[in-house]
Amino acid sequence: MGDEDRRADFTALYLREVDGQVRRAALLTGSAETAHDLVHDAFVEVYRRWDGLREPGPYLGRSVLNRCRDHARREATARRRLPLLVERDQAGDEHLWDALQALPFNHRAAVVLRYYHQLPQGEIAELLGCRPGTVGPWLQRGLRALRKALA
Amino acid sequence: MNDLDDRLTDLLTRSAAAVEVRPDVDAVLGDDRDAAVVDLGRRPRDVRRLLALAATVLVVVGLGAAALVARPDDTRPLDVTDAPAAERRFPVFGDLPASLRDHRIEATDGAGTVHSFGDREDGDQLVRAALGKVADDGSVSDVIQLVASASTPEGPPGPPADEIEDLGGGYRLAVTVGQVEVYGPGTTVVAVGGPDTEDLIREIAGTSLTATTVVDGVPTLTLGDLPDGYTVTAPPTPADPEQAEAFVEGDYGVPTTVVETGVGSPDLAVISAGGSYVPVDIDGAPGVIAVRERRTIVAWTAPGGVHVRVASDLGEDDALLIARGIRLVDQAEWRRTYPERPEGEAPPIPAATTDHPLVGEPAPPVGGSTIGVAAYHPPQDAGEWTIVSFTATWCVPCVEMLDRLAPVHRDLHAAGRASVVSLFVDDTVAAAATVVEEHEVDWQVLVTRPSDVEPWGIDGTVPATAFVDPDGTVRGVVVGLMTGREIDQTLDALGG
Repeated sequence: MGDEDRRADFTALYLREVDGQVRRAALLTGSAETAHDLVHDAFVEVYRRWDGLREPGPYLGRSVLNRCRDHARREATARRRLPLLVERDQAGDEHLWDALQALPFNHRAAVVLRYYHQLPQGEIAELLGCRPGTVGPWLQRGLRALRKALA
Repeated sequence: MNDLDDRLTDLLTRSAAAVEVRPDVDAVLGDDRDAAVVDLGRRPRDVRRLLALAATVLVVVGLGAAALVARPDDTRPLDVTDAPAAERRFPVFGDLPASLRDHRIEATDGAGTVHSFGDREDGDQLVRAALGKVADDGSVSDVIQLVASASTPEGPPGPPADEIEDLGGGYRLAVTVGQVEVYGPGTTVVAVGGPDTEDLIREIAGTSLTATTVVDGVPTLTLGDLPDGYTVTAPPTPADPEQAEAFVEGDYGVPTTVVETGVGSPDLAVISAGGSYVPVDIDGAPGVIAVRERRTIVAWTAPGGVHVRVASDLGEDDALLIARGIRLVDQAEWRRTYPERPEGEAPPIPAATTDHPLVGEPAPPVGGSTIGVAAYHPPQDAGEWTIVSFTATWCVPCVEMLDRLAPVHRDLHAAGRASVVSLFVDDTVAAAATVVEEHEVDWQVLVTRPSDVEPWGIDGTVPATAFVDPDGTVRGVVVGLMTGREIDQTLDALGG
């Protein structure tokens, strides 16, 4: 594949995916700026590996989620040392937004992928790199924690 | 579809729609063209994140103070001065070396004096440091936290090698990848490194601080008379003697005041959002106030301790009204307000301990690689209680907790009460082995994959601690950092 073809194919993927990936990452990290950074880095990685990727789309999705997970881990570590008040959802329902952002990453991701992207459990498991049977408990625990927080 | 389903779908849809996506494929292609320097290019972005983090955090550290609301009717006029940022210099920095005079500094000390800082530009270096004298028993005194920034055209340095160094006078310094930490066994505090970080800390470590009072009680806050429309919804009766929280609920249905004490130390830490702080006079004590979007933040000090409120969804007047209503109390008054538990009464089990789906269930089997000096025995075969500690080398509090587990393991195992098992989650054997050796871990250690501990429902949330009885049944799970005393008390409360 020539450079021009590769760039054209990658650009098509980028334009098709960037919007959804940034919005998803923003829901998972609670920050549009962080989402842009993480998604940008994932795209750079995909482009570098372009010739060796059989399915760049799914690879991109997993890469973005992994970067969100790493970000959540770093944030959690930092928060334990210097707890932060998270930025609140400007669109309202702040209690629910706060509770969502406070969920463990896998629970939060399962909830976002189910309720925003409306994905079935099999696809959620593929994106999160877990067994399909694991998604259900993550969703249940996430929803239980949200109900408890709202009670 | 139930109400929560509807709310979630609506919230996520609206929140996602509110994100402004800025496609820039040329930037991606450009980054790839410059692949050789991408790693360097990423660092400033990380620094910007750290700067953003710092700009949103104001940490106030105080020692041994309890506060009660007393005088909400004080209506003395405020002296609000919009002083230039350069004039808001904390006195402790008056003796800084000339080379550091241009640093902008935010700091709090053990007496609670707060200084803030102006806006920073991208590319500035940031130094966040906290210092305290660490006693042998783990208590920390003369605590100071500070943030300084300075323009450094060469950008941040590469990550220094891991090391721990005794700075003398009770101060200890740890330099880990990308950050500097000054810590003792009772607390962990953070600094983000710049090229002169160590020099800066050395300089400041030698600066005398205002004398502080260390009380062996519980620092906490309670709220009394509040403006109309505000009620206390969570009186600060801390389940954890080293933690306290206070919330003031407004008409908006969201928590509007948050006060938290430090975990694992007597430090009183109050967290607020960032913004431009303006000095104010509060009953003769210097304070700062910031109004940012829907939050109003007030922080101030008084002789002998820290007075702080973080109030969101409150107007400036109401926030100051609450702020003025707090006064310090001595330990005797604190004890009268919150009497101790009668002797002989069983200690309460923290609610969160038994609020886990595994409680009452058999402990799931654990796979992984055994490392260290002790052979692994599943809880069912241990013949005593097993304290399963989920940990990770990449989690700073977890590594700190390893040190706390040493006396727990020694005492409880010797008494035939319990043994300790540390499970490193999502780690390599090499990384875990290094930490185990450095911290002289002599109890059971397994290095697991995430799927190995998935049945425990920990999900990588570490540190976490599970208490398993001699029959192999999980009796409690605690997520978060625990002190050795807390582990002992929780085991006691669970019947172990």
